[in-house]
Amino acid sequence: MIRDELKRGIMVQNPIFGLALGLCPALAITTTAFNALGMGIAVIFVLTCSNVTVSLIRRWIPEKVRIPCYITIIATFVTIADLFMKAYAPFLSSQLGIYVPLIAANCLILARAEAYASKSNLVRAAVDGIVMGFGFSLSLVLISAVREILGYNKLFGVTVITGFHPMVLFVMPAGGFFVVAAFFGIVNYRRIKKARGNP
Amino acid sequence: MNDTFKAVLTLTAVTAAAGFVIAFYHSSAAKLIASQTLRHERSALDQVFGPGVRIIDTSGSGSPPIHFWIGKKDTAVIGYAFLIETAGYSGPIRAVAGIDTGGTIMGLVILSHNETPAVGGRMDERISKRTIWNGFITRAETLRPWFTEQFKGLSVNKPLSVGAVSEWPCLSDAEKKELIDKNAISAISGATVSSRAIVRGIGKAANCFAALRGARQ
Repeated sequence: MIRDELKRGIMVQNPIFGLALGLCPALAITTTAFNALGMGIAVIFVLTCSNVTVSLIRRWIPEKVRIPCYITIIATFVTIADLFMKAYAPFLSSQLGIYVPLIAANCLILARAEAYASKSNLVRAAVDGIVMGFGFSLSLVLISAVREILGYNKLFGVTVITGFHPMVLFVMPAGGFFVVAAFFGIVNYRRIKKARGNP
Repeated sequence: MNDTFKAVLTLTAVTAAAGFVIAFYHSSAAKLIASQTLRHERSALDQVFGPGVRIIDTSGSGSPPIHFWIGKKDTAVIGYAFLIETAGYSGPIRAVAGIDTGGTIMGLVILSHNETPAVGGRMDERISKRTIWNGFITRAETLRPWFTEQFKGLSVNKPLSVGAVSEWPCLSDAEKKELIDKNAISAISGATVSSRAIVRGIGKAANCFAALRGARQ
């Protein structure tokens, strides 16, 4: 079961490359792998906690006000994550800046609350939060690793090839689009090929 | 009616609970956050003044045009550190500049900035010999930020300027000497705006320093 769930989070329904959710942070903060990892951990925390809470109180939430309730729950956990980061990892917090509070507006988290957690029991919602968050983090780290290597000639702040002159374009927004597009291309190429292979 | 009442009640309960949770967490985190900011400032001041210097914060005493600290060794004042707030390319740059009693820059430490990564953002870049192949096993090295380091030893009694053809680590010794003689720094390539912003900030600190020295004499 865990294996299937992990496969679903990372491959089949990968939040970024599969569902195309949460693309704003995927482009904005993936300039270094360290930032991406920090962001990924924050998203795993928020996603898991909000999924669990939504699943717990799903029976008492009236249909009409469910979205405001979800947003409030998500924003609460985002605020906690933001405060925690400011208190214990001020450097990371200053690097991520506005994008930590903006997790509250990340459509991935709201989509999981609305589409999954509000219809599932506690355990399933928690597992969904973890695997989806993990898939998201993995995608962020992959994108940022490519961008950091090409744009800074570094990985996690450490030089990769001495003497190689980096292509600064890749840490600029335009380079981010190129890298994300390349990943989308690879993922979709595989998907289309698979679909044609087994009609 | 009943439905509406239920919706209002639920939403009120959820927001109240959220507010309570955040307030509870904030009360314990706020102290830590404040101490982190203070620690960050303190470490910048230590870098500027060097070890064994007593640092006196002047905020709250009188009304200085910019926030500054006095560094004292025993009873003698050895210098001042000014908090620089200057408009960079994309947002404010905050830094601490130390100036000794003779008007020589003792050091410059960037506290925070929002400059473009890989361009102006390189203002606090440190050159490291580590690579991915040996980086995780070699022992720690002291990293010196090349951009801010070139300010050390320059004078604030003369106007400071930006004037160079290449970046500091790429310059020859003769070119470095020429820059120092001209009381100038070399800009980060592609980030003249950010480099000028810092020079402007130091100009403000220099004015403040001149006023301070004038008052003492």
